[in-house]
Parts: sequence; C-alpha cells; structure tokens
Amino acid sequence: MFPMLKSLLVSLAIALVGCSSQPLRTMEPGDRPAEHTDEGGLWDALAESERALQRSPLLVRDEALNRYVNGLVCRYAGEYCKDIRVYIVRRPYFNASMAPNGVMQVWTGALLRAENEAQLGFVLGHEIGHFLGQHSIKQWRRTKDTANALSLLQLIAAGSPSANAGDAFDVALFAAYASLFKYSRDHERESDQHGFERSVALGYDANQGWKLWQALLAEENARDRRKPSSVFATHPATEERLTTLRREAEALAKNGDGTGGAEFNEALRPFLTTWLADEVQRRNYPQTLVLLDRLQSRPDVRNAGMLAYFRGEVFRKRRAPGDDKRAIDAYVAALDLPGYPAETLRDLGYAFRRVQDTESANRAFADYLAARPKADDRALIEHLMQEPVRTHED
Amino acid sequence: MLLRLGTFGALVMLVACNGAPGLVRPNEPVRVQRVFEVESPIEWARYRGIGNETWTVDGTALNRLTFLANIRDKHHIFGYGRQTRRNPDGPFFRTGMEPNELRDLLVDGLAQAGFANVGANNVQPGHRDGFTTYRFDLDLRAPNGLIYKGHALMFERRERLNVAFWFAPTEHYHGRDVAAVEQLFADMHFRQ
Repeated sequence: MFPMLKSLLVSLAIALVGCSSQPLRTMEPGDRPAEHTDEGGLWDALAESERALQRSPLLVRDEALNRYVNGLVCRYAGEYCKDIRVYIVRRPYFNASMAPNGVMQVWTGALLRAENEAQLGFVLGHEIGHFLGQHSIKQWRRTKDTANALSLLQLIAAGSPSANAGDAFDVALFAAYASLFKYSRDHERESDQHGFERSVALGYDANQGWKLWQALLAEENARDRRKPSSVFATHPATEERLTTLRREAEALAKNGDGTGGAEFNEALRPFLTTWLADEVQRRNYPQTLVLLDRLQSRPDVRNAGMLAYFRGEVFRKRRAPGDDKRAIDAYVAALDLPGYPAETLRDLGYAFRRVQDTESANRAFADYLAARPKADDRALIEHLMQEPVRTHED
Repeated sequence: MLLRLGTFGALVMLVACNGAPGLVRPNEPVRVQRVFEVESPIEWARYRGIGNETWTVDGTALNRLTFLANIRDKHHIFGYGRQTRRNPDGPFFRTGMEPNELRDLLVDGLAQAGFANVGANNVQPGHRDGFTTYRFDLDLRAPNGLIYKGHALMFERRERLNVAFWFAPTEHYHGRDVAAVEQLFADMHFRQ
C-alpha cells in the first residue's frame, strides 16, 4: 500500500506543481503588466522596494561609473534598455540581480571581480536574460502553485486511512521543493545562455564568461565555510556553468576578440581602494587572497603597490601563525611598487610591533608621519612610539 | 543584510529580556557590568544583559549607548560565537591587540551587523585608572538611510576587552546629546 500511495502522491505533486496557473504576457519594449493581474500587483510592491533602494546609503551614486555600467547594460539589452534601471550597490560580494519590474542591482563585489568589460557584460547579459525570460514571475507563480498543491496533498494524506500517508507526504514535500529549486537552476542556465549569446553578438571574446566562472570557482574552493547542498541550490554548480560555457565558446566557428579592458579599467580604477577595503572587511581571508592573486596577475595591473598593501592587511587581520612575517613582507613589497597608500608605512609599523621589533616599527611610524603630516591618527602614532611593545600569544 | 540587522536587533532584545529594564538617573553613579563606573548628566532607559548593557533615551534606533564587558580571547565582539577552525575569520578579539586592531574589530563588527559605510577616525590614546584606553569617533549608516555619528572607547582589562560605544542620527539626536555623552565618556572610570 505504502509504495503505491507514495508514488501516487509524488506524481500528483509533480503534476500539480507543473501546472502553471497563468500564461506569461508578451513582453514588448516599454510594456508593463495590467494592474489587475498578479504581476501588476507584484510591480506595485516592487516599486516601493525600489524607492527604498534609491534612499539606501549603500548605493554608489558616482555619475561616471553609473553612466559606464548603464551604457553597457543598454548595449546588452538593446531595445529593452529603457525598461531597465541599474543600481550599483556597495556590497563586497559577487552578486547581481534582476527584478521583474526592471530593477537591476549590481554589487561592487561583482565589479571588483570582473576582469574586463566582456566579463562584466556577460554578468549583465545573464541578468537581462532573467528579465526577458520573465523568470522572477515564473518562479513566483511556481512557488505559489507548489504551495497550493502541497496544501491539497496534505489534505489527501490527512484523509488517508494508511498509517504511512504522513511519510508519503514528507517524500512528496521533499520532491516538490527539490523541483522548485531545480526550476530556479534551469532559469540560471537559460540566463547564462542569453549572456553568452549576447556577448558573442556584440563581438566580445566568448571565452570571458567561463574565465570569470573559473576565477569564481577558485574563490569558492578556497572558502572555509560549509557549502550548501546541491539539491536545494538555487544556482547550478559553478563547475557545471564553467564547463558548459567553455564547451560553447570552443564550439563557436568565429569568436570575437573584444574585452573592453581599457574602458573598463578607466571607469573602475577610482573605486578600487574602497572596494578592496570592503573586501578585506568581509574577513573571508582565503577568498580575498585568491582574489588579490588574480588582480595582481592581470597583465595591465597599474596599482600593484595597493594590491600588495591589501595582501598585508589580510595577514595583519587574520593573525594565523606566520602571518606577522607575511604581513611585513607584503607591506615591504608594496613600498617598492607603484600605487601604495601612505597607510602602508603605518601598518608596517604595527606589523613590526607585533614581532617585537620596536626600532623598525618606530622608523616606519616616523616615515608615515613624514608622509602624512596631518594624519588624523598622529596622536595615536606618537603615543605608540613611546609605548612599550606587548608580548602576544597566538 | 536584514537578517544581520535582525540578529543585531535580537541581541538588543535579548539584552532587554535578560534583565528588568531600569532607569539611569542623571548625576547618580552607576556600576555597569562590574567594570564601568558611569555618571550620566542625562536620563537613560537601561537594559541589562549578560556581559552587555544597552542604554537609550528615545529607542535604540535613535540613540544607543552600548557597553560590552569582559570579552574573552577569541570571542566575537558582539557575542556571535567563538573563533574556531570552522569559523576562523570574524571580528574576534585577541588578547594584546594593537589599537588599530581594536578599532577594526568594532568597525568590522558593525559592518557585519548590517550597518553601511562604517568609519572610525581620530583615535586618541589615553590612560585612566591604570588602563590604556583608546577613544575614537564613529560614522555609520543604517540601511534605511539614517546617518549616525558617535564615539567609542575600548580598553583591555585582565586580558579581556571592554567597549563602550554610542551613536545617534545626525538629524537632531546626535547634536542634542553629544555634549552629555562626551561628558559621560570623560567621567567614566573602570574597576581594577
């Protein structure tokens, strides 16, 4: 009795979840859904969220940067350009998102990680894929239908004389939720495809998409946190996306060679210090070190001193065994490279204090005060130059 | 981010649940967490927790004075757990931290709690009651757009970290209370 009931409930769950309650509207440029529809209601709610986003202190309001990112979005969106409003959000994680009403969020962590315009364009094209595929509304309706179907199944299971009906319902519940997450992963694959195709159409190097995923995979593998289960992952595994995109790029008869590196660097360089400081503040050091390695290995790197400084910052903050020495090495290396900030000298002083080298510490502090005579931490530095070094236990 | 702010809020609520809310009367000495000895020129509502206290005049979104006492080596500044091999990289206090590290601890902790653009500047060292103290100014923003300013004071006592920080929105509340809070910070003493 139990296996039959179980398979019946699972089949019913899948069949009911699969029924979409409403057809999708035909989306023309400039269109918006009718107010009396569920999508119209969703847009109204999203308009309120957008107003909150516009007030957010996390918004990067720099005109030149916004102009650059908006221009790239327009190239990828084509005639749908006016339907999309881009918001750059100061968050140090790799993320971009697209709401069904055309609100696109691009996090600074994504800007920091994209190596060139082609890579950033791929990410933006992916998000535009979600918009054009109406994925959010599809997912929303699917979630609603799943909840309705599960409520019905729960009633059937409750009314069943079988003692195993409860267990069967649990299995159906698991299957329904897994199918919901799979649906989301399918949308991600579809959007990857859209981003890839638009990049090719615009003449960008089609290999940049998988190269970005390769870099993200290296960061993912470096992280020291537990990974989520793949059954309930909303996105496909990075490795799978990388392989698919690479295969497609290699299968192309003709590949573009544009990467847009120069324009991209021009637009983003002014923000690199702030975004790297935000990245280090995340305190996920293994990932930050992988990222710094990658930024340092770019052929057009102009601010190697700053990257070396932030490497020192990672070691200074992490305090793992041997990190004091690594921090000193990184700061000293930074001083020989272009673009190091004056704080390198100060933090080198702190690093020397940690290894009980008062003389070198005071010399570095003195150099810092000479380089920044009006430093707001002058009183503190002068105090430290008089203060004996404490012993540390790690 | 909402989740983290929620957690920070929950911490405040937990603080509220841990002890009966009390009142801090003006110009009456108060002992806080057996570490701080405070005399305030203004009145506050007081919520006592284990190892922490929150004082407020108009509600914690409008002004918040927080005391964190006896944070042990390898413990999170806001009590979100301990540094472990699985969780090695949060703002965890380590005995013997330099003043820049102490400052980063609070800044990173507030950023982790969901505040944005958190900055600390004008670090001033001092000596009080036999301890080396570090005072600095705070700047931060809440996700709802409110801009806060405030002060912080940190010092190590018996190899444990003690922190007092206050912030209020720049619109009205900071200006209204800043002189009183500066006096409170200046008059604060610490038990040996």
